Amino acid sequence: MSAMTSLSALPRSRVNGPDMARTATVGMRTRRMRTALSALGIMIGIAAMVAVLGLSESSKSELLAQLDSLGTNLLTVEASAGIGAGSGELPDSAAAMISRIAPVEVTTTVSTVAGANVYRSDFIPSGETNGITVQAVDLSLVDTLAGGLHEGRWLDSATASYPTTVLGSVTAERLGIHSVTGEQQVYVGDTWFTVIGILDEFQLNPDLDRAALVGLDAAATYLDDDNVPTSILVRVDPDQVESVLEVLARTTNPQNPEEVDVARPTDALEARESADDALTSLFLGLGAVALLVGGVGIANMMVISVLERRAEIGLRRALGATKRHVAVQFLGEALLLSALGGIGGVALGLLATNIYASLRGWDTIVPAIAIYGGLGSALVIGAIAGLYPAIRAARLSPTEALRS
Amino acid sequence: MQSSTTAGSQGTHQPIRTNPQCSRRRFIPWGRTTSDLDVDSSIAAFRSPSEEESNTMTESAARAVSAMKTYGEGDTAVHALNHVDAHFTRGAFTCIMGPSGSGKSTLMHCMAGLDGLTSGQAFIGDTDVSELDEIGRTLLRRDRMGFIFQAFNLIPTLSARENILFPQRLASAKPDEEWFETVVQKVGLAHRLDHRPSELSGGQQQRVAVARALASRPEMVFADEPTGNLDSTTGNEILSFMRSAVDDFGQTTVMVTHDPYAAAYADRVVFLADGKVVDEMMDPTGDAVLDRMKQFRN
Repeated sequence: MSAMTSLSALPRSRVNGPDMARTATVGMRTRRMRTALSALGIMIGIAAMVAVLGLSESSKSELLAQLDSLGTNLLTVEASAGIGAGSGELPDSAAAMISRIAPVEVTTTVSTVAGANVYRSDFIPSGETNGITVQAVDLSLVDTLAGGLHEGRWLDSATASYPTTVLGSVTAERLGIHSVTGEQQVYVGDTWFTVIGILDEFQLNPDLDRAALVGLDAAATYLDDDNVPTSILVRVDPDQVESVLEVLARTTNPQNPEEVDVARPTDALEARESADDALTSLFLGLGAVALLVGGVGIANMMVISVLERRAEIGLRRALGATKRHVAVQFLGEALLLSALGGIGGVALGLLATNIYASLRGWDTIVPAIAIYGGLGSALVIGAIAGLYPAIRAARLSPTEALRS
Repeated sequence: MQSSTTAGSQGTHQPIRTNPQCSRRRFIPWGRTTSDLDVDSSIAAFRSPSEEESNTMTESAARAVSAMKTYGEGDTAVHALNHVDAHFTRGAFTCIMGPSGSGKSTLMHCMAGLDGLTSGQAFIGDTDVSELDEIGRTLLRRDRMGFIFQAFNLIPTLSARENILFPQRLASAKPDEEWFETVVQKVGLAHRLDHRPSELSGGQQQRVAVARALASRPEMVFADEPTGNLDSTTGNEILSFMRSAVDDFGQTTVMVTHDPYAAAYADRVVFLADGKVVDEMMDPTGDAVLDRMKQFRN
């Protein structure tokens, strides 16, 4: 048995790194177009997944930053309106009652001035209200809402008792007032009010964007408003938001707590975000389908490649390449293809995220899992796609493959 | 037949005779580990001509013993090889001839470990090829065989140099530069080494294939219709290279062909018909082989 021993003592064929890389890239180097096309499938899938994850993460971080600056501790109390829902007014004492709840830090009252409309001049037909309301507000409103002044000044204790108004952002646009000169006047009720400021958009209370804001005293004096609060904005201790939420309605209107709507405006933003999450999942699913199709493309190409290279495979086997050599060669080729697609896809996804995020003025944030997961799933798909063709190639008998 | 003492110590193998050329051919494959070398040196001693050897070329480099190769089963079974007994002399150029379908390629494939026998045995040296598994046959081909095919069969993406060194690269063996130069000089390829097969003529491609077969100094070179795709001038060139490899390096060579004038380059011709060895001829000439072949027609 010495010959047998000598044979088994022969060094096993090894597939060394550079050699494997060389043989595995042969197909790619010689069939560039086909390689590019089949890598493209994987690339699109990965790019879609990376971009979707990146965009949702970027927008989420934008939202968190927004929530951070706006504060999630703002609650609004409104009189519910509608048939059988009550008077549409809150009790006079509501603001005072609410401010007695211990964790409440600030309250600010908003009172809708009923029947008052705002016009650019007294020649405008009374029907063309532009949907603008007049709201009598506390001076603390802007601070409470974390709002900003776009131009001019906010109301102060003096201007709050005179016919002056600060316009919401939408109001200013609809009235065609783009700058504050100090002489601009609008016709409210039957009084001319001087525009002293224009506000930025309110993230937390878009209703006020469509209003002309006047002081409570001015509303009483010039517009015959009775200053009954229609909504009260409340800032509370951030740690006690939930407990305040529970008691707020009963505190506001002890007789009919059901006539009070209590809301947390940041919830609306979060709801919008979770709607985006659903879309994100949908797009992720689409990306996964693209990835799968890409994998099928690679498998298809590899099968054809094996058929085309039968003679070469047979030759390699005849000259002493083991089945493993051949399998590794084709598996390596599939893996390389998909890695190529994966890297391209990640790059493309990053680029797309970056472009979209910078257009929206967001920070580009792509979670690491999107990148590693993208590359990883590309490789997994490649391995699965390459397995069958590789096994097929390895099973070719050298004599049969040489004959063809 | 004399029994070598070393052989006796190795086991129950056939007595071995060698001719002096063997000593030149006997090589230690590159890249082997020390333990491998121990085994090799024992085999080398086994075949060493230092024993009381004669110059006769009777030692078998390869043998087929009652080799059967059957395709299909039952009534439709075809016996490609039907109890073939044949031997191939060490250091000699043997030609297998026969009409189409006589089983000559099958015999070669089974001897070279490209294919398995249905029954019987095929020996390369002392190795029973029919007992080897798939990996064993692969390593046998890689480390102990050289191949030349009809359709040149070079790897299209590798240069001539890389093609020549390919089997050694598979074995992760370090090529012997000096021997490489010798082989390349012999086949006259020195200035074409960096060309791809597609940039070479058919004759040049086949010369690359010859160089590849010789480069690892294999125990045996198997050539399957090496001149089948060449015109007679380039065909003769290739045959001359093979002949001089036998004469100069003592390269044991087995060639399958159906060209009588190609067979004339061999030391000995084995005739196959219907899967059986029917005749053999020493020191053939083209015309003599042709005459013998004509008998198969009748």
